[in-house]
Amino acid sequence: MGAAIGALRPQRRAAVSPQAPVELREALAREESLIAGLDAALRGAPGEAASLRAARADHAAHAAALRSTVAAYPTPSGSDASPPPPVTVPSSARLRTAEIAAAHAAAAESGALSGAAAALLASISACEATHADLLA
Amino acid sequence: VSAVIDAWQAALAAEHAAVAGYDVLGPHLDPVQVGLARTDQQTHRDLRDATSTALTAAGQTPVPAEPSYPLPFAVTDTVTAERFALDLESACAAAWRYLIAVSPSTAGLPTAGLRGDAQSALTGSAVRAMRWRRLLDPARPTVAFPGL
Repeated sequence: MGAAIGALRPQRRAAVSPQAPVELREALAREESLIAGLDAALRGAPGEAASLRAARADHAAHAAALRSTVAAYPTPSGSDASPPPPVTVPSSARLRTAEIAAAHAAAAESGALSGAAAALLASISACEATHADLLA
Repeated sequence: VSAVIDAWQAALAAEHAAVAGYDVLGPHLDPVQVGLARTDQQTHRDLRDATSTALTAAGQTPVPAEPSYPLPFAVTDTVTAERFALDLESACAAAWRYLIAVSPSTAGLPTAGLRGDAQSALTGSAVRAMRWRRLLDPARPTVAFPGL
């Protein structure tokens, strides 16, 4: 009986609901890492500020969307550690490589999911490909 | 499965429209941009053909191109031509993104590769859209969620 009610109202049964898919949590950690890299680059290379600021704004939007998607699931018992801030200023080539890697990772994560979460990660992947093209 | 086929056909319809649309906007562009437009149009032609072939292989009848496509606004100069190119790419991106939203994950998909193809098409249109948007508004060339 309890299981049947839980099946009807999974959002109210935090104790039996799964935590956010690992794909979404990893994507969020990656977005935060990309933002940290861009912040370091913006401090160190104001000459390319326009492209970098555009990319940073997009990543902030990605992180916000992923955070609200992840927040719909119950909080895991062990919180994910924040990525350490990069100690060196990343070069433009390094930022571009990071965007390409992020686009590939988000596409793979999208493929493993379905529905709105898959579409969100697919869009994020496409956006990161535009950043790579912009930084080329 | 019907929702997937409908979305797949809609993506093909968007590719048909893009192929036709580049014919309209091409003559209004500068020589450098004409080269960009020709490359973009050929990419859409290839994608249209590949999508038609894949739909046929899946037992479907691919939607044909419309006899004519009404323009969303008058295309009379470089700026309106660039805006129209951006519109075409945005429409394609939205169609492919929608196909991803209604398709099962790659693990459960009978038509192997459809999700990957849709992602490639979404990414391709997003990159082309960015290149047109950069010409129209250099300060804000990207959008956070292509296809949304």
